Amino acid sequence: MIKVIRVQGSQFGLMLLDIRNLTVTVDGKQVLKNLSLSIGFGETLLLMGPNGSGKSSLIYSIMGHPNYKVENGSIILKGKDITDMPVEERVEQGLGVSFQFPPKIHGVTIRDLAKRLAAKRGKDVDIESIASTLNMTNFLDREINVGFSGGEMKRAELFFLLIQQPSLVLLDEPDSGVDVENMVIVGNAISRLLSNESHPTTDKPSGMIVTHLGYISRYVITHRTYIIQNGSIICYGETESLVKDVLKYGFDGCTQCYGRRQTCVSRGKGKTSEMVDQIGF
Amino acid sequence: MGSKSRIEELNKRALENLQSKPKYGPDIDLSKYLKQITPSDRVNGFNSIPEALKSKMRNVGIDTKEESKAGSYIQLDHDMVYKKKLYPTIELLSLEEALKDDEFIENYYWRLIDVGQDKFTAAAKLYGHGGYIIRTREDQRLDVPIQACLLIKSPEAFQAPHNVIIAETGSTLHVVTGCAVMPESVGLHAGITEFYIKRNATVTFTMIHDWNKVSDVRPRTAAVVEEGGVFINNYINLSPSGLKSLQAYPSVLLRGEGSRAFMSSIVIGSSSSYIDLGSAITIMGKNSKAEIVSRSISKDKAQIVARAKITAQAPNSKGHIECRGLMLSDGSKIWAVPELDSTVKDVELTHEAAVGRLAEDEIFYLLSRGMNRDEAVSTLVRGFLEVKAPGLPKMLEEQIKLAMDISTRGL
Repeated sequence: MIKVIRVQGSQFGLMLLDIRNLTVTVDGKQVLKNLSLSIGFGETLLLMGPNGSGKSSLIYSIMGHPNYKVENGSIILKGKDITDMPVEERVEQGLGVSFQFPPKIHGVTIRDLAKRLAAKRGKDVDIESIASTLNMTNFLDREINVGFSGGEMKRAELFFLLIQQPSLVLLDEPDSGVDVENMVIVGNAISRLLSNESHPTTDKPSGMIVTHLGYISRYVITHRTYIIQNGSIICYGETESLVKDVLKYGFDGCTQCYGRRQTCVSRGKGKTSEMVDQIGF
Repeated sequence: MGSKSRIEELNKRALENLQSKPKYGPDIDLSKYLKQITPSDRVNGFNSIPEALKSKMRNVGIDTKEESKAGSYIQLDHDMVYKKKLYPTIELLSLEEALKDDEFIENYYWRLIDVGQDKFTAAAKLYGHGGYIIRTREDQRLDVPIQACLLIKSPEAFQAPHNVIIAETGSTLHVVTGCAVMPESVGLHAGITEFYIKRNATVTFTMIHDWNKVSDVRPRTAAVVEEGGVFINNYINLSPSGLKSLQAYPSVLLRGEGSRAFMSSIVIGSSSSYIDLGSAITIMGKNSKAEIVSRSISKDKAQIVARAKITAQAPNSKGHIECRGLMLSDGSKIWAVPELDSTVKDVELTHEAAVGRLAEDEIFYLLSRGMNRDEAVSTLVRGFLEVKAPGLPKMLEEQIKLAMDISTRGL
């Protein structure tokens, strides 16, 4: 049976992130449709869905990319409505992101940006030692992402996040392009980002990890998994069994299940519709 | 100087061309500049120079504390006011000293640049004063730069120093030169610089300029590089408040086999600046390599022509031009003109040119790391201007970085 982990919705208590009925368009095309999702304090979610289902769109919308126009709904972070907040203020409120395809920044080195981020945090940050945990020492004086492989870009993104120490970490496909040797390094970095071991005085950070394969769940403990399809959340459940189902039946299985609104393809009756009811369909 | 008749010939040709229009850039009426100005007195060191002048010098990369320098040369308007050699064996003279005492200058004075090229070269010959002569010894390797500063401080001054740099066989020389004009001065700068880079010698030459809105600038520069020699030239025009007009097209002749040249120019055009700037490299020695890199930023109503030309006349030549322009406003203009010209078959000449605006996805990326829009834009603009010139001492790299940081603030 799928273990449905009941997370208190905002009607019961404060969530770290609470997205309600979010509809977003890009150039008039709908990319998110009435999407609702919430993340508790200290909780990490896995967000799975096929290509083009809206995973990255959700991240861009949470971050406030100017091309992503919120038509309806709201994004609440720690009780504060950030739906129309400028990007840099969202970051100040604790958002941090690792992009799937970060741009090249010519003439600006990894170290240049790292120093700026460290200065913004206003604390002593040991850039060198963070770099060494990610095997990034030789990259510090290289221009950001210029000539980097896919996996190297991902490590650079995590490196910046480890300096920023956001309270909500949004990771878009953090494992794509990462080779087997570096997978453990990436997994450890994510675990460190999501723990408060290095900053025991602060609250444990929360996270949302976007993936279309679920491979990353072998390396990082996530509490729940959401399935996104056509810009809407269609299902959620406990990570281990849901990832297993997706790998077995594909996202089509989820769609069929959601379409019938009563059974999960692989599991017992009732549970999925219960989940669906709970998240407000 | 030995040959009186040659000087007479040069003067005659200059006189004949005092009205010759320049090939590129707007013409200038020289008459208002060619008048007497008050001479500047010699000083004992940077300590005796007023702080306002010193701060201007620091903006163009001059180290007024003279730490880690091989020597310093300072010229105010027409006059050399200070000269100091910190490496005793290097030759550092003013042009007047060299012409008076030394026979050797005869072979290097007006040998690469035609005195009759246009009215600016002509006027430099007839009305120019000062300039530095630097000459290394054979196999002498300096790992710290000589710095030269040429400052216009009097109103309507015409400053045309004649500089000659000679790197003898196997030597290494770094020169950093800063040119600036005080805010209250209308000035015309038309310095002549000739470079002679002999067999297996390396010269890096970094020139940082900071002009004001009423400055006209017409430097004339040429270099010849012999077998295995390397010439690295970095031109940086900061002038954050803009200038009236700047036109320069330095040319390099790679004469020896296996010689190399790297020419970079970094230009910020603002207000109503007119800038026509480029580099030309001619490859005559086989197995030689030429590279021209330019970065232009235009804002307000600035007009920039970015030229670059590589001519290959020897087998196994390699040449590459990288010309990038960043538009920060409508109504400004960047015209990139990369040219490749070959008369031999066994060559590899390439160019890439791009003109555009700042990429929104890069701005968003920096916003998503917590920068505000102004910080993100200035970080990207500063990054755009970053050109990694090969072979510079680290100290000099940092000095250039500092000068650029100061000038790009608030762009």
